[in-house]
Parts: sequence; structure tokens; C-alpha cells
Amino acid sequence: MTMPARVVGEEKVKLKKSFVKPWIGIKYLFKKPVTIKIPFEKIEPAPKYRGFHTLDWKKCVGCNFCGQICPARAIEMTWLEVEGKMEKRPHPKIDYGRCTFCQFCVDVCPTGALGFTESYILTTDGTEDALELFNWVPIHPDKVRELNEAYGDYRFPVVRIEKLGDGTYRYHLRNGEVFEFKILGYGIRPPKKPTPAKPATEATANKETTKPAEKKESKPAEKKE
Amino acid sequence: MSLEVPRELREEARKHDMYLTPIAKDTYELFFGPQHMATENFSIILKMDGNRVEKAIVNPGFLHRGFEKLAEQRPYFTNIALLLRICVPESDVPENIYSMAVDEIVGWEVPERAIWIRTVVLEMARVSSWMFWIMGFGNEIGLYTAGQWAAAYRERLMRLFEELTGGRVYHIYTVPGGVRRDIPGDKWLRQLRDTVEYIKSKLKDFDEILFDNYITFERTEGVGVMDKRFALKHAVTGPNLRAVGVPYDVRKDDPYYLYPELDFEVPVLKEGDSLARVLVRRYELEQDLYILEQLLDMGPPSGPYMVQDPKLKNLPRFKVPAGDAYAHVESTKGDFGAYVVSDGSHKPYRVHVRGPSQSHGVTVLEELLKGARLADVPVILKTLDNCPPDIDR
Amino acid sequence: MAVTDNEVKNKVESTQKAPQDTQNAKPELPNTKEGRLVKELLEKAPYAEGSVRREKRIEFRVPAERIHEFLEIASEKFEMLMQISVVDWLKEGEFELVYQLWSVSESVHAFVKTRISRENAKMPTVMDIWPVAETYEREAHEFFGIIFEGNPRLGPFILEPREYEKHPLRKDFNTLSYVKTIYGEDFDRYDESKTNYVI
Repeated sequence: MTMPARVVGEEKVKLKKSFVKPWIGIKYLFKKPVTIKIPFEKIEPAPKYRGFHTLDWKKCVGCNFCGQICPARAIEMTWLEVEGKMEKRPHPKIDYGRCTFCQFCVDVCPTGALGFTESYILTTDGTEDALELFNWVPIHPDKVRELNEAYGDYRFPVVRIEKLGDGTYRYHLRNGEVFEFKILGYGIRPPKKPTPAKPATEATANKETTKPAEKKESKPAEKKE
Repeated sequence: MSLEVPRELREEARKHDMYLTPIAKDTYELFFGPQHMATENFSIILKMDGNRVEKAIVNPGFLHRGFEKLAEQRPYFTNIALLLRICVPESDVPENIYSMAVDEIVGWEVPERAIWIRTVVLEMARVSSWMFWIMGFGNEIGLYTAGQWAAAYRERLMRLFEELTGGRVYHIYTVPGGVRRDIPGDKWLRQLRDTVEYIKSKLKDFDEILFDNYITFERTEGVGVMDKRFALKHAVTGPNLRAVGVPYDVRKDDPYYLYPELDFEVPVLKEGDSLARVLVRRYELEQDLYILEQLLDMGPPSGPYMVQDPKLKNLPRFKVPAGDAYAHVESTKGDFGAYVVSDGSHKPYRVHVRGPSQSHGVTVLEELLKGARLADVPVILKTLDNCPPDIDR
Repeated sequence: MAVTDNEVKNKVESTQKAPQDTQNAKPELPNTKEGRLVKELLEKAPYAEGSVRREKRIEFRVPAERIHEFLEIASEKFEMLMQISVVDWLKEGEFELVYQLWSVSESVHAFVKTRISRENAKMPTVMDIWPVAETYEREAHEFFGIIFEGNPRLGPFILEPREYEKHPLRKDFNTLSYVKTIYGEDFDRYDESKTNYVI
């Protein structure tokens, strides 16, 4: 099957040195430069460029496949509470300080809950507040797509993440909407005092108790790795 | 004449076997790199006598990130996102050698379509790496214009990679058993053909400004000469070996993927100096574009792009049977190989990467630098195409 | 691909291979280029075991004390030493050294495997056969602590001098605890309880 190597020697490979030829390059002085003048011109990322994640919270079953495959250990399973109701399964929280954007987590997701968009720009200053942006639970793909279409500059869909003392997080989206939820604990197993079907008023009263519970729970919480 | 160096600093230096004061007139030590552009995060300690290098000691390790250790702690598929960082200008090469070795241990028959895509990706990586090399080499010998052009043409290939794989530099595309995504469509194939045609039409300009240029000849002719026996004993591979007269090309001698069906020439020169290495590389760029054209004429075979295996349902816990395999491909720098050992668990027991620079970047470089002029050091480095991450890993 | 089906065929072949120390070439060696090469080498070095894995891949097992002798014979056919891979088999308490050889004239890759004890691991250098071995041996020495007698440049190579003698690629080297000793606790974004995250 192997073809004998077709070896070519000096007669084809060698070149003659020339004093005159390099000057022909001058013709490029009269050609249009290829430089993209960034503020005036725009470059679009390719479709399906591997950018930030999105997460359909309804579909996510909390299987932790994404956490296991992640090469940088950027994914942490998080127990969340939205509008006083705890999510039945943990959801991935992604640390963009670690993420390599390999999107293996999207590949392994069995229900297709985790996805990605073409947005890729996330620049902040070094303040603590701004650095919060690098660690988020992805939001619904429709929302991100809507924001992308509205602005079209491929920036991070959230401008500010507000962190309240009791574990409540407020995502201030780019269009001014606020998305609020609460982090109860980390790990695959649910936090000890889940406060499942309690009325919202009581849940707010329980905040002091849930917080230590979360602390305690984070101890045995572990991933198999 | 003596330098005004504080006594404490001198003692500190002597402890590390260095002498900051000149030993004799015109004899001094020079730290070349790691911030020098030619060395790419790699440093050489040169013992200089005037303008001549008396002795060179290679000092690698600035890029050591422990990939081989980390690879032992991660599942098989995950390692792709890690190991490709070993070779920055052509990140597809480590992906492919690792995938080939794992394929061999598992005993998978990779689908034809995946094989075709992998071959195309490898050749595209080679062309884009040549562009990168022209940029570096042009800069080293002062012909910056050629470097700027090459960078601009490389951008077109990066754009194609972006559309195919979703990443520009680190593609994370080839995985054991196939590739991660299908070809985006016929439009992409047309674009690739256009790009190949475009770069091919520009080769003449490169010849005129860089390879035919008398400056290139003056700077490289007779610099860094090695002979055949020396090169074989030092396991020099790739264009560097072909420049001393050994027609060894992994694509011909240990064919993988579609290479047995492709028609291309292996350029060989006998001189073994920097100029021969440059000319061999120039000819190979031409051949790679020709290979890409042939592949596009062939067209992608239909079928799946990933192997169908029920074991792949649980990807993080995907187990590979015990065994070991060595796979190698021809990269632009030389013979790039990986030795993967599995003990039957879901993580590799050992991954050992053989970077071509390991052999031509340490002892060979030290030998070639002996007696060279200081201005020739970057030329020798760049014509050997030294890639420090190969050594450090 | 020709690679994979050959692989399967030859796997069966190598499993049938009984440990043979007798010097007569065994009948299972296929009558191919690879088979003849193995036979030729085994005739010169009867202490070694050889087998053909698949097309262009052959394998030898050599006792550690005769490795230099064997490689000297092999170097007539195999011009290049591509790599010295070390595998740390912790349970067996052994290092496996794999000399990856490539023959330019025959286009065959050979694994020459040998095992040495993990404690006090010593090997003769092969620098006199292939000078490039110097680099490979320096690397193996640094990462695994194998002493190659006769190599003058063993010492800190890739790692920092403070990491020398730690031999990080050994299986019993704990990456996480080493990082903690160097960078303190604050390198980790996780709290204390999640230490089973490896780096």
C-alpha cells in the first residue's frame, strides 16, 4: 500500500539568489491593507463559535457529567432557590477564570440543557464586584439569544452580579432586567435543610438558618474525582 | 576592565556557578532569552568570546506545566483539551497523536469521514504553522514584510478553523474515535479551496521577497551545518533531517490516515546548513497546499464522523482496555509522537509525548551554536524550528 | 484503516506468545519484514524476548542488566532513539523503561522494554550509542529519579532547583499537597472541605 517516497533533490528544491527580485515586493505599497480597523469595522465570530454557556434550568437534571468531564474543574454543582422554591436538581456554576472553553460539558450533557452562544467578550476591571461576573450559573439560552440580537456585540449578557449577604444573587442583565435566585449550597447531595415547600415568607425568615446549613453541607459534598 | 557588581551579588552568582565579572578581556556570559523573540520562552546561556559563541548551555523549563502528570488525573476525552497546548502553532498534532494512540488501544475503526476530516485538519495545521514559521524566520533575518504577509494569510486559515471547530488557536477538535463536529457544509469546502488557491498564488511573492532574496542567502548559507551521521545519532527529524539528505517522512514511512493514497514529494538536500533547511521548508509548504487540493478533489466520504460505540454514552467514565500504543505524525517541526499506556481504568496511566524539539533543541542546538556568531544565534534557532513547549511540557 | 485491523490480529498473536528464553526463533514470528527483523535480532541477542505487534511495530523485552548490550546490537538496524519513556508501576514496585527506537532504513518502530526496581533505580547510560539519549535521560532522571550511570549532566533540567529530587511524575507524588506547600492555602478557590479536587 505504501508508495515509495518520491524524493526530489536539488534540481527542484534549490533556488537562485537574486538581488533584483525582492524589490518586486514594492508593488504591495499600492494594495489595500488587510488590517481590520477595529472600532470602525466589525468582525463576527463564526457560527457555533465556542463562547459563553447557557443553561436551560428546566431541562438540567443535575447529573454532574459536566463537572466530571471538565478539564479545568471549572464546574461546581450548585443548589439553587428561585422565588422561594428550591430547584429539584443541582445546576452547574461555571468559573470563567478556569474555563478553557472546550465545551466538552456541552457535548456530554445528556438532556441538552447546557449549551453555548457565540458571545465571547468579558472584560472587567479588577474590583471584587466585577470579578463576580466570572463565576456564574448560566441563564436560559433564549434570554441570551434575545440579548445578543438586541446588542449584537457579543458581550457577556450580565453586566453586574449583586451578591447579598444571605446567599441571594441578583443578575443585572444588559437590558436592565433583574434575575434573582439564592444559592443554598454546593455539591451533588442536597443541603441538609432544604426548606422545600415552605411559603416564601417563611423562607425569608429562615435565611439565617439556611446559611449555616449550607456551610455545613459543603463539607461532605464532593465529586467523585 | 571590570564591572561594578556588588560583592553580595557576585557571591550569590558564584554559588550558582556563574561569574558576573568578565573572566578575561572580551569573554563574558550572555543570557539569551527567555524574553528574546527568537527563543520563544526558552533561554540559552552563551559563553561568548567577543562575537563568537564559545559554549552554549540550553536552559529550558519556562513553560513546564506538568501536562503529563495532569493527563494522568483526567478522563481520556478531557485530556484533549490539555495536551494540545504542548504545541501552540499546530495544536492539532498533539490532539491527533493522542487520539491515534487511544484508537489503537481500544481497537476502534475510525469512520472514513472522520479520517478525511482529520487529514484535512492536519494539513491545514501544517500550512498555518508554516505561515507562523515564515513570520518568525522573516523577523529573525530582518525581512519583516514577509512576516506580516504570512500572519495575514494565516488569519484566513484561522477563520476556517474557527468555522470548523469553534476555536481559533486551540481547536479541541480531534477526539479518540473521530472528530467532534461535522464539516459545516459545502460552503466551508469552497472557502477552503479558495484559501488554498489564494495562498498558492501568494507563494510567488514569498519567493521573491524572502526565499530568493540575497539577504536570506547571505544570512543562512553555511550557518549551523550538521552532517548526516550527527543528525541520525541525535534523532533529528522532520525538515532538519531532510536537509542533511535522509528522506525520512512519517507520512511516507509510517503512513497514517489518507496519506498512502495521496501523492506528494519529499524534498531532500545534502548541505545540512540553515539555507538547506529553509529551502526544504519552503518546498514542503508547496507540497502541503498540493495535498490539500488533492483532498478537496477527493471530497469528504459520507458516513458518521464519530465512531458508534455504546460505551461512549458515559463519556466521563469511558474505560479503555489495558495496553499501550505509540503513534506519531509528521509535524512541521519533525516527528511528533505520543506513547499512551492504559491500565484499564478511565484515566490514562501514562502519557508521554515526544516532541521533535527534544532532540534538536537541546544537544543539537548546543553543538550547532559552538563557534557561531552572536547574530547567527536566532537564525540557527529559527531554522531548526525550535519549539520550547515540546521540551518542557 | 490498515492500522486497526492489523492491531487486532497481532494482539491475538502476542497473547499466544509463551515466555520463551530458548534461543531458537519461535515459529509464530510472521514471515514479514518485521518478523525477519525480530528473528535476526534475537539470534544475536538470545536473552531477549521479541514479538511483532503489528505492521511497523515490534517489541522486545530485555533484562535490565543487559540492556546496553542489546541496544548496541539494535543500533545497527535502528538508527534513531526517539524517546525513553518511563512508566511507574507502583503496585509492582517497578519502573518500566521503554526505549522507543526507529529504523530509518526499515521503517519499523521498536519498543525495547525493561523493568527495574523502584528503589535505588540505576541504569547504564546509552549516550555512547545515541548522544541524544543525554536529553532523554536528564528528563527521566528529573521526573522519576532514575540514575543513569555515565551521564555527566544529570541535575536540574526542566524543573526549578527547589523541585529537584521531588520526582513529580512518580505515581506517589501528590500534586495537591505540593502545590499547597508552595503557594499556601490561598491558591485554592475552594474551601478546605473540597480538597479532593485535584489541581
